[in-house]
Amino acid sequence: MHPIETRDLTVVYRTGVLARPHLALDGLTLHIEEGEVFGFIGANGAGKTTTIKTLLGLILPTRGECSLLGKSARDPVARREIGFLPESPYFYEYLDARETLTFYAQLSGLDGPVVAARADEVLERVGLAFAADRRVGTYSRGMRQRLGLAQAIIHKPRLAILDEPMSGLDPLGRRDVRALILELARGGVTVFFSSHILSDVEALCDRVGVVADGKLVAAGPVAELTTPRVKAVEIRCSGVSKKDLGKAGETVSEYREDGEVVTFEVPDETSADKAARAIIKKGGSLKSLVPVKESLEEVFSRLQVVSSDGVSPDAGGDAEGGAT
Amino acid sequence: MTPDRPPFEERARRLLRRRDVRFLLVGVGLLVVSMVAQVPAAARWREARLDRSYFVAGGDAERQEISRLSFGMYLPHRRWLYFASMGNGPLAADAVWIKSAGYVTREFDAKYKGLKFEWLRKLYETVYDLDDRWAKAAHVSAMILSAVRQDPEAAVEMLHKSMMRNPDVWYLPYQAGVTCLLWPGHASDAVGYFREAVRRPGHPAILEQIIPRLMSEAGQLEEAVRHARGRYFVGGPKALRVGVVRQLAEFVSVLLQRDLEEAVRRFRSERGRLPAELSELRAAGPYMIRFDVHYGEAVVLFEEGHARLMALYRAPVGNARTPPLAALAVRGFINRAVLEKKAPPPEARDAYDLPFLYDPKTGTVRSEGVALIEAQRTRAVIRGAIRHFARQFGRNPESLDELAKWVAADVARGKTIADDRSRRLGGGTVPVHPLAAWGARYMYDPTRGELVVPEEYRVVPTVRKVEELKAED
Amino acid sequence: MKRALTIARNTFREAVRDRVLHLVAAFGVLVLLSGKVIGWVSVGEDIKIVRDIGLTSVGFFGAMIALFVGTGLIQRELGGRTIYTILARPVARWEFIIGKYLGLLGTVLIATAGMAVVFLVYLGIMTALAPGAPVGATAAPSAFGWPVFQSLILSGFEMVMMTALAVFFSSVSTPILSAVFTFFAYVAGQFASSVSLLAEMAAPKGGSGSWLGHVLLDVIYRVMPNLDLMNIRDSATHGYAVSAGQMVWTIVYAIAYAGVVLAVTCAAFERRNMP
Repeated sequence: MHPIETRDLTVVYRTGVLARPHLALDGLTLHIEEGEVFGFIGANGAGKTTTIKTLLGLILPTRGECSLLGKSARDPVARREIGFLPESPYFYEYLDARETLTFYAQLSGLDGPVVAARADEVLERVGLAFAADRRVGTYSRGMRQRLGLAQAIIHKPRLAILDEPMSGLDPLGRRDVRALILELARGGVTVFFSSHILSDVEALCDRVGVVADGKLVAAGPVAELTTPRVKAVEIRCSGVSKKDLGKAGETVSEYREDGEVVTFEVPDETSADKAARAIIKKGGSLKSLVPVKESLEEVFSRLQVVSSDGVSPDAGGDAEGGAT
Repeated sequence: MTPDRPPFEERARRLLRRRDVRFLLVGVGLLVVSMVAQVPAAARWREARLDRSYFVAGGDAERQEISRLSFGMYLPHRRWLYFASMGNGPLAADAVWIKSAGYVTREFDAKYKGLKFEWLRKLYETVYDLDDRWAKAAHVSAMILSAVRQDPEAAVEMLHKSMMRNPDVWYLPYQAGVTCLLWPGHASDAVGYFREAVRRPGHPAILEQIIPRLMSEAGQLEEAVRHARGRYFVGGPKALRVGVVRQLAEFVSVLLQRDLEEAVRRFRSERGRLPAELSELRAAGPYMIRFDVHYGEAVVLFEEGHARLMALYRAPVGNARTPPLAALAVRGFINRAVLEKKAPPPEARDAYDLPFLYDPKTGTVRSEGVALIEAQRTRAVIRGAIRHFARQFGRNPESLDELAKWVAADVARGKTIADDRSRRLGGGTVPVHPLAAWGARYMYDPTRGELVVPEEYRVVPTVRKVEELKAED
Repeated sequence: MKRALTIARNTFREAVRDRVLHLVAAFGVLVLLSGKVIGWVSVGEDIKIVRDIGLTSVGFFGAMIALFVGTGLIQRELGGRTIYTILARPVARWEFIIGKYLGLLGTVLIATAGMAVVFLVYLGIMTALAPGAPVGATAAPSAFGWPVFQSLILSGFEMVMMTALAVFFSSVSTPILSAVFTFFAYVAGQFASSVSLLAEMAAPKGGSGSWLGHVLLDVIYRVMPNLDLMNIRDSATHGYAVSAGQMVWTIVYAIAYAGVVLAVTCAAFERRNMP
């Protein structure tokens, strides 16, 4: 059973009676596996938050279906074992952290002395124990984020859905959240989170889904997506100039001179080979030859560009590849 | 091939599975419940004062009338006020009431009445429209309308409206009765209102005594007797019942006197002349039938009450102002033996066993007992007027004429509301003694400022029974 | 249902600390106490004026508390996105609405009860200090007579209806509009009986008007909130109680109507998107 499964999920907004309908999600089909950490990335407005909200039953899909832990998202029972952290969460200003957590725990079905114990435990874990009795209204952005995490995990969910969990946090805070997510994953919790901090995604996720303009343009293990596509080779040398390279120099780019050292890039390994030979022939000294791989960020941008051009993503293990 | 399910049924089923549809159905069900409950809950409003006049347009005439009465004051039309108050009529009524109090105090020293107080009626009617259960306000409004604005009609109308709406407030019909009393020609209305007042809880016992008196003043003597008789046998405080007994005696006498006068009138219209004496009436024809009937009833009345009367007079009665019974002259009582013999009394007598006096020149019949009581009352009023005169002018009046002229001038100025004094002396002349035809008149000594009363007129007669019972003790 | 109560408790805690509530309640008490000052100008009817002002204040300011706190709270919830974390719980949509309603109702009723207590204490003091009734007047309605309590109880049920209306309007429209609509509903509700009278007058046989107008007005009368049924101040202030049967029916009406409004709110909320 997939903890999250969507099939042809389509959501159309109508912002006003006469406004044109806006397609927020367009036939999104994906699933995630139990116990994995899935990263959901996309530009602002691509549909990340819409997807999450539709999953949680906060938004009604126009077409298609989605399920949480095997049940319909509209069924409150399905939400019993889910923890959700919304983007920039809001809380009741006049309660303190402990009261807030107690409230949420009770709503999730926890009862009695367990509630207080868990609240303390979780406050400790997210690092809010020092402010447990202060009104939430006095909290900083980062503290609210932590509180949000706390309420998401207080009832020991099987699936954690986090929308931009790192937003508002300083680097230390981000490190803590990363540690928390890893801890959850080690404990067998499935984590589904959206982010646009790609380094975090790269570091944490087993699989990644890329969404652009409401469509899922890529999904699969991180390593697969960033298939070692050598996009260029960087050569550093000295003792030659561009014209020395001759024919090999035609495909050179990013040429710069740092005193003696010359650095440039060539598009692929073949031209790198040619250029290296030319350098040696001309008597220069080859300092380094490094293949530059595509980073996730560049994958990301590429996919965005591709998608908005309407050209189907090229082969190489993208879209639908890891989804089956 | 499976038969197709009727699409409607399938759609309905699917629809019912939806949660929001189920909530709507619950809502519809509750709406039905609320509509059912609305009917009895709204019963108050249906029977209340809301009526069409609130919506029927007044038209130009009414608006003109309102602007004519403005005198620079602004008061929105009372129907709009009702709406503006949004169901808080009593609160808005308080506001208008305070406004009216200010208005009255401001206008009180007006040199001429009537016109200046036009607004008053409007103000008070607005107060009533906003809060028709506010009996006290209606009461005060009416008193001010009749006293300050000299408008008994407006007062009585206001009281009547409020009285109908507040069936357990006694002082509203009471005040209406009082106002009618002072309104020439409306004595019978006063009687009706007072009877209403005694039907309502909380009324003071003294009202019971006033009613028969009013009835007699209104000329409804039979009703007066019947009412007093009912009160007499019903019970109540002893002093009250003593008063009722005295009243009965007076009414019966007046009744008999009226019967005799009626008989004389018929004799004259049939024979063309006045009888020489009362005994001629009996011989002349069936003129005395009515008198005999009432006489017989009076006998029965006083005989029936004999035992109770005895019990009454055995108990100590009266206060410092009531003279001891022994001081009162012993007078005759209706002779039952005469009646049993089925023979008429040798001469017509009243309830005090005093003769009916007859003046053959004018055809006037007088019950001596009643005449004496009336004269005593007038003397009391005159004495009061003398005292008031002396307080105002620092000296006694030269004569009763001067006194009467002074009272009349006051009445003309509107300074005296119609009351006993203005009724008796307001005409500007000395009132006529009830026994004038037999030479009696009111005599006044200016040096001492006192009335002079001959011995035989000093005594107020009472029923003999009283003395007999006292003597037996 | 337990979850609804949890939400209710929480809402209550939040609402009770709302500054708007304190302001309106303070203002209400101020107006209440001004009754004595105004009473000085009257002709010996100061107790009646205090009673009028008191009963009216409790009713009016209670409704205003329901309006402002109600619309404010729900709007803050929906607009401020505290709702996301709640609805991500195993909480049904209707439980949220009912919980919010009950929490709000508790707040409103306690605030109103507070004002009512101040009023009764004040009235009691005034009655105790007043000179005896003048000779011949009927006894003034006592401060703690049953009619005054009846009026206060029915005002409480007026709050039940007003809170439901506030919750409804604020969950289906924008912040400012919801307050405006709720206020209009309050004002209109005071004139419901006039609507029924108009409907009667529009009847073809009774007076002028058409059949259509009559039916339309009749339907409006039956469907609109009849808040004036909860207003028995015009008799209570003079000491006339309302019969027990009438009171029961009125209370049934209030609860049923609030139920209608809440059911419609739940239905509308069920399919609402939270983008």
